[in-house]
Amino acid sequence: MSTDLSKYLDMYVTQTKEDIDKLADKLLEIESNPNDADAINECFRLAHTVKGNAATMMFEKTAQLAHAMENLLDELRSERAEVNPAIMDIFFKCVDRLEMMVEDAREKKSEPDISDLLKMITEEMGETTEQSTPVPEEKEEEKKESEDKKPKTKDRKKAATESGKKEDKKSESKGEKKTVDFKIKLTPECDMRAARAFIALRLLEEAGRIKELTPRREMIENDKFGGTFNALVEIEQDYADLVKKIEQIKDVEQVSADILKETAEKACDADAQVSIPRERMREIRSVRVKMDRLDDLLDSVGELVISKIRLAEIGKEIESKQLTESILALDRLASELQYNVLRIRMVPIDVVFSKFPRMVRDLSRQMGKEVELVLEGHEIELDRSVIDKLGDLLVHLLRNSMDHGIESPEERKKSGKTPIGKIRLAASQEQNRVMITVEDDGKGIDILKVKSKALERGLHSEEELDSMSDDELTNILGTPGFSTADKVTAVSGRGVGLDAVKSGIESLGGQMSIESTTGRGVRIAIRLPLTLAIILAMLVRVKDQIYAIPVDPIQETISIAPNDVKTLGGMKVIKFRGEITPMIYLSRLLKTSETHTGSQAIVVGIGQKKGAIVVDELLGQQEIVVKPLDKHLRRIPFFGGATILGSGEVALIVDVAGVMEHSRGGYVKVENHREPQDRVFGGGISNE
Amino acid sequence: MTKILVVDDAAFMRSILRKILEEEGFEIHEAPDGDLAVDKYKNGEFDLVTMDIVMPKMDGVTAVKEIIKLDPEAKIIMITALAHKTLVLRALRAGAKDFIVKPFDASAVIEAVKNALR
Repeated sequence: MSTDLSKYLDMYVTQTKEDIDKLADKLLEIESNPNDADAINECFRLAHTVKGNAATMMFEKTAQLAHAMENLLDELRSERAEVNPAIMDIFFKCVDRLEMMVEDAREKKSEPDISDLLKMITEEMGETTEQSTPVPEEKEEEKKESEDKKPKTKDRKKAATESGKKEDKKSESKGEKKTVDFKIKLTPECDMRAARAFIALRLLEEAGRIKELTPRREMIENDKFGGTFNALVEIEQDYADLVKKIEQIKDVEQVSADILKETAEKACDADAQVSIPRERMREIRSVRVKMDRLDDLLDSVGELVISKIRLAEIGKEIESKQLTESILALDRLASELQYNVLRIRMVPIDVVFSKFPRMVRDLSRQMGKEVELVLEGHEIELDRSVIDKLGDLLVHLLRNSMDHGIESPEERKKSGKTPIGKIRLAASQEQNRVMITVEDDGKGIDILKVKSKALERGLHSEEELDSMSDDELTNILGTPGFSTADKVTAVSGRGVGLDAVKSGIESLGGQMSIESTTGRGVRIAIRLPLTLAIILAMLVRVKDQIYAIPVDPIQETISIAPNDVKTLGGMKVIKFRGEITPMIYLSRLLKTSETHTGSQAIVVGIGQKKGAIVVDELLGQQEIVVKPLDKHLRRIPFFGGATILGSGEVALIVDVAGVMEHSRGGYVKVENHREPQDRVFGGGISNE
Repeated sequence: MTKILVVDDAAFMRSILRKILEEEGFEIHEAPDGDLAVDKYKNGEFDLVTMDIVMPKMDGVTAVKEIIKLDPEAKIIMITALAHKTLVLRALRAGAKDFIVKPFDASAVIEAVKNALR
């Protein structure tokens, strides 16, 4: 028995006997009415209470017996077992024994043997659980409860780290942002490490922004870590107090806080490095590199790849076996190098995700809503350049869901939902794309409202709207110039709607689609390329210029005969799979030529818009290294960059969205097969 | 005097917590379930709450949410069995400050309470 609680023994006996009496009464109720679920629940709760009482007083066997009863009652509760005389008999035997044990406790006798009863219960359970699921995981842990109680040493925390204290003096420069590496170690006998770690992380989050967490948050929260974790925290205030606060958390054995070298240098502190303990030196497995250095490296690799292609072409002419072999080896090395450089630039999406739980929590309080945020796929990696921009866009989507999607708890109850709304943000990888979905279980999109707004904004005619499916109507939300926010709210901003987010995603080379079920919620699916630095492109020739068209928006390549091309309202169009598709002439856009020739067309589609880019020749697909255009060229909206080909020639990379927007053929034709063809043709076309 | 609300459906647990904390000079009030705890908290001006997790009527996690709604600054310590790991995390996310694992010893309770009140 725990010494400091022994003075409460009388209280334990009296009250536990009361609980056991109640338990016996309730068991009688079950016996007379086996289907009384309330009585079964009540018995379960009382057994749980007896177990808690006994465990607190360190009466192991009493707790064990009560726990076994609890398990058997759980079988009844979950209808894995049925009430029968044999089971009731066991229960009453247990109750009698419990009563006896509590009496014994008063007389300070040692606990009697209970193995006979435990065996009966196990046998009974064996019968009932054989075909059903095993005992839930939580139950298993509970068994340890009574065994694992070792005395705890209280002074562990006194062994707090030196380094944390030394650093205190140096962190005087208040107000300046710095990155501090917190290393927190929990005691080996810590119960519920995940929850303890959560408390520590919450303190860190309140003080600053967690930039990096090792292991990942989900690992920590699922207790899949070794009891130690590292957090890089961007913090403005002095962190000496924070270290103290964390040290005060129960079961925290050690806290160290080291200002990161980069910021330490700024503080002109020469011996900052000296104070890093030796142990830490060995643990540094990552280095921080400035992004532009990586860009330079990638550039050089790009050049290398180009030289390699040029060399391969020369190799073909010379036809030397030795040269060909060397070129093959070089080829393999160059690809590996390129792959590795790209990998260096990849950052786990957790960098963005990790700030959301806090944001959602704060916002939900602010809005008087209850929202549970579920994050999945923290480990998915994306190119740094994509991640940076993605963060803001996701913030926007989350805010939108919270503001317009999730209803107030009262409203939710009225419509028969749980009062707590749920938002799921999940990332996953499919080949060389990353999928991100933002899903809420709110009220969904009000389609009638979308219709009237689209009409009001002149985005579509009434006829067009009537013929659209719900899905198409929902996706009007992404049309530029559309926003459902009736009024400006502090949360989702000044009427910047999904349209802005969508164009943001598209500028990252991605796509976004919206699905909504009225009353059930909205699901927004985003597809993003892993990287913007290297893309797969179709090389085409128009007159004497080579262009690169990203493969992603390409739907098909077709040959065109001169009389396939029609003129519709002054616009050249072609009929492609029953749809009127505007032609896009790159030379005309660039005003290099006015003629409309070209025997091939590449049908591209972004969202529901389609276009056919007319070219003279298809040169094939190739991975290209994207180089940004210089300032002067960047003003041309049709090109997203340039690439250098093996021949040394420069090819401009076509920005498909930009081209579709600006070509005369930027006419929007909503994909819709129910629409009668003759209406579209109007009468402008003769040989249809 | 510092007022503490002890919430637990087991009378014994309430009494033992009362004894432990009264010896430290705190004023103790009790509630046997989440519903009553929220009611009492509304009118009580408590400095701290200790909260059991498994209780009839309203469970401890829901009670934490309700109390935090009334008072975002509320100081709540969960009293939990080792088996309820996920529930504890949920309670912490809902705003509970700390937790004590059952079976506990008196010093653990006192330490946690004092720490939270600081």
